[in-house]
Amino acid sequence: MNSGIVGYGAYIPRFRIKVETIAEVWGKDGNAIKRGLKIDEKAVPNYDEDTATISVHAALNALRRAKIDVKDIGAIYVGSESHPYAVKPTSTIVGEAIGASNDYTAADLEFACKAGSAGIQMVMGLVSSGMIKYGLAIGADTAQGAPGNALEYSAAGGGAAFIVGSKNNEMIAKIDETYSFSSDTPDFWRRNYAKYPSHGGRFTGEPAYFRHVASATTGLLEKMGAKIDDFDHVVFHMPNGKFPLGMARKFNIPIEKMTSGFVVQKVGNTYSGCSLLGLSAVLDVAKAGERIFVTSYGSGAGSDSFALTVSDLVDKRRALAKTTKMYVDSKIYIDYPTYAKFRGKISV
Amino acid sequence: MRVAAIGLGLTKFGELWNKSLRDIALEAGMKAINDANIGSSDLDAMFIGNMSAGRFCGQEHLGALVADQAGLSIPSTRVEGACASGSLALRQGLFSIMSGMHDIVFVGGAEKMTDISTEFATVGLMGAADEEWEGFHGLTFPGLYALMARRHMHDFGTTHEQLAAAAVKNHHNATMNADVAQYPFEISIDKVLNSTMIADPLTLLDCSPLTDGAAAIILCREDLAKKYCDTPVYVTGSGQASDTLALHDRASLTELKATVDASKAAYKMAGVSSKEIDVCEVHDCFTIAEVMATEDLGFCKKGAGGKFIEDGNTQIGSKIPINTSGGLKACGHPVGATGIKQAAEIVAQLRGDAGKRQIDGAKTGMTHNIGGSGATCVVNIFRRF
Amino acid sequence: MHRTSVPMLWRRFKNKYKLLGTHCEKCNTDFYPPRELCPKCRRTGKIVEKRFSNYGAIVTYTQIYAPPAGFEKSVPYALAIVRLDKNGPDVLGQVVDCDAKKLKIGLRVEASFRKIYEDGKEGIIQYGIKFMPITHENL
Repeated sequence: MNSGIVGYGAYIPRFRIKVETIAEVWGKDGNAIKRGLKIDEKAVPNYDEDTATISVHAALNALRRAKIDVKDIGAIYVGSESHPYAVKPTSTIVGEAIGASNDYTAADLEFACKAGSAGIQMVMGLVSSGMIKYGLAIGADTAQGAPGNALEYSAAGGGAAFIVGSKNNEMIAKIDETYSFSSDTPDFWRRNYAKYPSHGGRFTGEPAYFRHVASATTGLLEKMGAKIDDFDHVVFHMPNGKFPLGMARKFNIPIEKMTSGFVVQKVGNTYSGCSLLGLSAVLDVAKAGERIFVTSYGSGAGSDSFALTVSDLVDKRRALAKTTKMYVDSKIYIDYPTYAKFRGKISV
Repeated sequence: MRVAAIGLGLTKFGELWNKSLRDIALEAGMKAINDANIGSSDLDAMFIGNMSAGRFCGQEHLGALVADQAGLSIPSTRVEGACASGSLALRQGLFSIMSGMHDIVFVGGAEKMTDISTEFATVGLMGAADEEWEGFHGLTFPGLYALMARRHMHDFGTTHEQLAAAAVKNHHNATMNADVAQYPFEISIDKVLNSTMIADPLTLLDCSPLTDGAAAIILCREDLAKKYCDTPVYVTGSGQASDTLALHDRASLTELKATVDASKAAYKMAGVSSKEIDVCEVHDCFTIAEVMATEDLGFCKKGAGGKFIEDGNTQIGSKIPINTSGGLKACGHPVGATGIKQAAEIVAQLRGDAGKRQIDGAKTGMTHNIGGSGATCVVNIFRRF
Repeated sequence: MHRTSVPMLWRRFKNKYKLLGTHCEKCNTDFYPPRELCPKCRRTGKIVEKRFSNYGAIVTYTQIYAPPAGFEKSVPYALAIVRLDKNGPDVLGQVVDCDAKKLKIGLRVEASFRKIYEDGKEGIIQYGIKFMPITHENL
């Protein structure tokens, strides 16, 4: 198996709502929530943004860095739990908007917050088997939390796109190995036609997030015969700030290795986009030769772990598109009524 | 061969809840026939201007509908050019007589706009713009003219107060046309500036309303005119021009080239210049449209229209009285009927029948009718001898 | 019943999802929306497809407060005519992610793929190009 990232791109909507702005509406202590979740604010898509538009922006950024002919993309997978249509693919909208040929395979994926990382694994298989030249995998969401629910403080919009290829000299980062751990664990779900998801409260923690992230992480390290200390940057899925930092403590990872991909504090949980945005933020700062470890998590439940090594192409390529940090920093704060209007919480 | 207007008829303009499209078309038509002192059997053909009865009322086939209601079986044809449909119908009537094909024709316009909601009427009107590339993006007609107004303000320093002056004048004129006008009441500059924002910088009182109404004129061969009418008014010039459907495709956002081209053709045919026009009805669907028309028709320099109007040059009794009927703004704008209403006002002025709003000694008058955001323009010039 | 015609939208996807128009190679004129006949060169023109710059500057703008049916949720929204860079054509689109007070003639904007209109809860979603203020030039 030989595959790696030849292009990556992030997209985060410009609007932000502060945790205390939401807390005030529901009579909660905003500071206590900020401390508890380790989230200060979250990214809010405009009324005209959805998973398709976020995916297109991220994909265009990935293409700018990849410098490939878009017609050579042979697969497009968009992972999300907020696809605009229940039936009708997001991935073909992306294909048309980025100017892809018609010579590609495509599908929309859903696995709660890890559908995007599953997409990366799928295109890794396709490119390393020689079935296609390049594959585009995207994780994006316009996550919704029900008004007043705990999820409202974290559920955010954003996404990241990765173009995977198999030629070493084109790789910004080589994907050294991947491993997944899955089980039937319903910690979070959304039924058909339900507007907002439901979750198992504290059940989302130990038997769900912590078990799967830890198992996939350990599994990949064992598969590779590596130690977590071998890696310079670590990204664990960030449903909030507390969980990934808890996981870091479990693995004795120094906080410095967690910071480059720790986007959740200023962006919130972008669900399928979350761990991938973390990876894109790391690639924005990583040096050639550095090693990156990423573990996603999707409720229901499963985790995909990836080990990557950054190539010396990274410096040249990262400058070709907006960095994750540029998106994090370009923001317009909105109040709760505007947020409610943008996200369809008031019906017109 | 000259063509004379020998009769005219107008319905009340406004929200005519009790009347349907066919009711108002018949009413205006019968008034015109009575006014011309002819029998319906004298008519050779009918041309009916209508923009969008299909969208507004679900009714197409207007030519036959009007003939049917009039109890006639003569040729009757609907003519469509968005808000310029009425003037186009008049032009077709003109051609049919000038060609020698017909002696007496009926030209009319009718529009029933209040049978659907304002939101859907807004969508329907956008059919006059570029649906695929303008309507698609949520642009509206006030929006189109706001885009022009913003640029006019930027390029020439035109102020909202100057735009408002056109609306204030037109409302004042409408008070003297209360039998027809939708809004025969005075407004003020402040009222315009402070009314509801519709498409920045245009407010509600910068915009013409949605109107039901119909208008009709009987056209006749010159040599027969005196038989029916002591005061025939002649159509001495007519010009029509086209421009791009979409505003963003145009070279200038502050000039309607179709107005310039159509008026040149009409002036040439009539053998007059703008200086000889005594009274003019211009297409003031929005205040900025009146400002631009005043410039594009040659009454003042490009860019000077706002000040020209603000200074009172277009009031009754001034240099060039514009929109003595109240214009589209205050008389109302039943889109397909507007061009005929404009012609009826000029004919009334040249006959000396305009009552309190009469321009003394008016001999030559002009109508300026726009379709869409300027994609069609028809200019007609009238004269009494 | 849905208001919008799917075939009518679909045949324009390739031009509406990105700034892909046409160009007359003979007189070097750009067309967006695409034209199949060059108004200047008529039959002697040579029309080819052309991708235009995603960047441009506002030529004029407005803010819509009285929307047509289907755009009620986004009121008020800004629309502008944008002159695309590299001598590109003037194109119309909404301006989003922009404080209304910051709108001005000359404002630099970039193309952004957005949702234009949803045909009710069950109909098609139309996507297309809008504009947003440039946050980082040349990226």
